Amino acid sequence: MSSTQIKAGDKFKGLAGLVPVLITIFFSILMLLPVGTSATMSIFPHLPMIAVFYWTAHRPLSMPLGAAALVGLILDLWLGVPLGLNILLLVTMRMFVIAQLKYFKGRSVLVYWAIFSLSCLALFAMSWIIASYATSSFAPVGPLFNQALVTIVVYPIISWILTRARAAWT
Amino acid sequence: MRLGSASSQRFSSQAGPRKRHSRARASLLFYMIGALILLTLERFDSQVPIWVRGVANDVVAPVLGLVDQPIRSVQNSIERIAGVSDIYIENEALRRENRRLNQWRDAAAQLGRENDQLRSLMKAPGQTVPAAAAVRVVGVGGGAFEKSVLVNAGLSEGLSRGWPVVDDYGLVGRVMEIGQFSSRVLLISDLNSRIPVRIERSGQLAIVMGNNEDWLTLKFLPESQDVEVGDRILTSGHGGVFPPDILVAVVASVDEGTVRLTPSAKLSRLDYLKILAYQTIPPEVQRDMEVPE
Repeated sequence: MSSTQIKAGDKFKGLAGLVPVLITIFFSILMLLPVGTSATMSIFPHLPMIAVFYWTAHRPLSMPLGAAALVGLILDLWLGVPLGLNILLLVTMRMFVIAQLKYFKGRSVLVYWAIFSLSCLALFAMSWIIASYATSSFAPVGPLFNQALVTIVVYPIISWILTRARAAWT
Repeated sequence: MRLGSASSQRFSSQAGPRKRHSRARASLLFYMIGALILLTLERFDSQVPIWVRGVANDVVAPVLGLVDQPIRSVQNSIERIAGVSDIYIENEALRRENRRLNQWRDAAAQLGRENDQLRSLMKAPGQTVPAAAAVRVVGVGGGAFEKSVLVNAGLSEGLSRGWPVVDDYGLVGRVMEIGQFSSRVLLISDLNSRIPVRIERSGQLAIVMGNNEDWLTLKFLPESQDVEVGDRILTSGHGGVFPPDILVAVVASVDEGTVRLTPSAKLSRLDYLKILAYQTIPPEVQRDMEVPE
């Protein structure tokens, strides 16, 4: 989808325009909190990835490329993962959604979920390659696959919350 | 004339999106290349990402401390409500445990006195490692790639990179990154964690390896391996990173040469931790060893 296809209605008004980015940063902080057990630590869903997908698909102008890269950088710094990893993931996610949005915009929630699931699996596979490159060792696939699965499973819940937020602030 | 103005209008209406398009492509390229440069710096162990991360941790640690308070309160309240029914049974178990521990305390005090006397007779140095700081876990990190936690103390508390970290039950990890007011601790379950250990019962030396899971693996055992389920695994002190005799794990299973361990430290519920001021070479000797520039 080219930028000309993004309508004015896709934009939040005034300070509310910051809401999507702020929610995504809040999700990044949530990923850092020592809640629950180590099981939740290792399979905590990648909430910022869901948020970037959701906002790019529903309000593209409120999740610019720079914001996606900034959230990625924040995640890399705070999570202690190789610097640049989440920048690449979130920027690629945004680029993918923008390019494909014309094919699925306005479709049912199930279609959005299916597209998110596929892109999530592809991005997690990509993150495995990037992390292996940065650390010069093969990262174990099991925990990564689990995290991808949990991220896909919680997508409808997070998407529902974000829809409520969108309705409240638009 | 009309034709000319129409074509110029079309041209200008196409030039706008095209310009925006190329600008978007340029910024995408900028972020992609930036990310790749950062990843390459990581690959070649540059100090830049470590330093930047230390500063970023300092910024986020107080925020996490604030956000963490209400979440912990809710979590504790739920646990308290869920635990009310077990209080009587737990109380009985604790009374029994207390009686048993009292006996152990007397025995330990007696052995401690004997040990001190023998050490002074043999002129052998003591092995107590002083605690540098008691810290609190304010954040977790790494996700599926790394096992680490963020703690609320750093250089300002006199901590140093590489120092071992323990909880009440055993070894937790070591300080990996250090900022002014916060530090990141690499857990023993991390893929890159390697700890020289010995099996308490047989005295055999080996290496404990993390694999980003909740369990650990015992590797590099001698061919005549003597290891059984329930064996305690202690640090050997070899390599100089960890002091000897800290409990690391207990053997959970032995299957065709694969030895799985359960960490002794409560890695799943880390809260308050102790950082040990452990240096194999005393600072004054280290200073003397440094070559002047």
